[in-house]
Amino acid sequence: MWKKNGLSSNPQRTLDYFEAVEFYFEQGLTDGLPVVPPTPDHLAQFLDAANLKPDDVMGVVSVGAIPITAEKVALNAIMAGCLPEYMPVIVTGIQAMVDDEFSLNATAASTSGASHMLVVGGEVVDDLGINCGLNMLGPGTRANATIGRAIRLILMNVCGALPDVLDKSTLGNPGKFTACIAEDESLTSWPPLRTDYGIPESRDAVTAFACYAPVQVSDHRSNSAEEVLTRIADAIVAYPYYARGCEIMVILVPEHLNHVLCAGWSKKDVQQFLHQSTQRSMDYWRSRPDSGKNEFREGVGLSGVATTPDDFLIVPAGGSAGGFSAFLVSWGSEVDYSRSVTRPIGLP
Amino acid sequence: MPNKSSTGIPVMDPRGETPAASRSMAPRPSGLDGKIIALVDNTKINAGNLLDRLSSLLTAEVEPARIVRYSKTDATRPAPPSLIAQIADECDGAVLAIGD
Repeated sequence: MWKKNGLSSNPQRTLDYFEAVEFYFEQGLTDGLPVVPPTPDHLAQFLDAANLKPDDVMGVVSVGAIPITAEKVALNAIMAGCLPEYMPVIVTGIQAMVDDEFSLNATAASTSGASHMLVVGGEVVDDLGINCGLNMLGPGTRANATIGRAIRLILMNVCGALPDVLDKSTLGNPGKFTACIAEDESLTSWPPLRTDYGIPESRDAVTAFACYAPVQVSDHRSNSAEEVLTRIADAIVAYPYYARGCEIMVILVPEHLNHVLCAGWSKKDVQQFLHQSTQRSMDYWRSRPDSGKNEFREGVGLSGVATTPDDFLIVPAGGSAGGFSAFLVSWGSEVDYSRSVTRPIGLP
Repeated sequence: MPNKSSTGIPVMDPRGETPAASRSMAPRPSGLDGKIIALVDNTKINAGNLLDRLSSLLTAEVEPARIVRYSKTDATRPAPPSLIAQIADECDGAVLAIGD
């Protein structure tokens, strides 16, 4: 009944609600959770919300030359449970992920099992109610849960990253269900993440970051910027890297951030400190079995987990109580890395 | 409970267009004797070892006119169109190794 390509604008078959939910399961078009069955009316609303036509191409996956059309983005967004107004964020996330720097195919197929996280910044965070506070990496907020889920469904249904088919994750990680967060720009006067990519602070933007599961760093004793960041740096060094030389996103929670801000540190100071504090001797790295990238097995002197201070992506966010910051390591292998890509919302 | 309209919910296909799936393989050569064969290293670890062995086997078992080695710039991104065009222009067939 289902044509291989094209389709759907003129659907021939109708089902009742529960039959439709089961139908999408049977067709292998879900992430294992029920989806919202889309309708032509839904589709029109979602396309209108982003001022898009069905055939508009949001991006092309370079491996396989797979076009991602607005219609398919909208259908998967509906299925994920999104509201129409989330569409611009999802579209911008797609535009970021198809940049070759991001290495979409590799990150989606790799045995190391990366998730595809979006980090949203700007006024759109409040407008859409994207959670950047308590439980920001957890459940409970529709925008976070469904935007991230839409990205995953698009990867599966449009880009072909089906588990066990193209997606060969050895374990996967829970962030492969959904991963959408935001900066809390009210916590600091630091320039927000998007400005690190040359995007004006006045623009809303989305950063795509292919990463492994978050690692939480508990510290309830440190009383200075140096102490708390050293604790985080030590945890970053201890992480079992497949490939050093990647990017590290550090989510600094208010309790930890407070020490840093009281000391008058800028974001650059934090990046510099983390870069310096994660340097170890080559003998140390060679003693570990985990760093796969060959060039990092050779050389003398000190070497770090990230190449430059800018490779530490600093994201102030999280609940106001609790000394639990986190870091996330970007996808990398012996041969290549994914680099985070940020795009402003609203570009064609 | 969601409304169940009298006409029901239409089925819509969220899957992508996949032009790659509809591409056919290039015609197979009838034999390798006298042919120029490209061995393309995708730069993954051990891809070179695999191609070295393949090169030895090809030389031992058939009589290609020449074996030419090429390399992608990295393993995870597509080969540049110019490299694909060059290989197609210079060779009769190509083998791409994916090591690990």
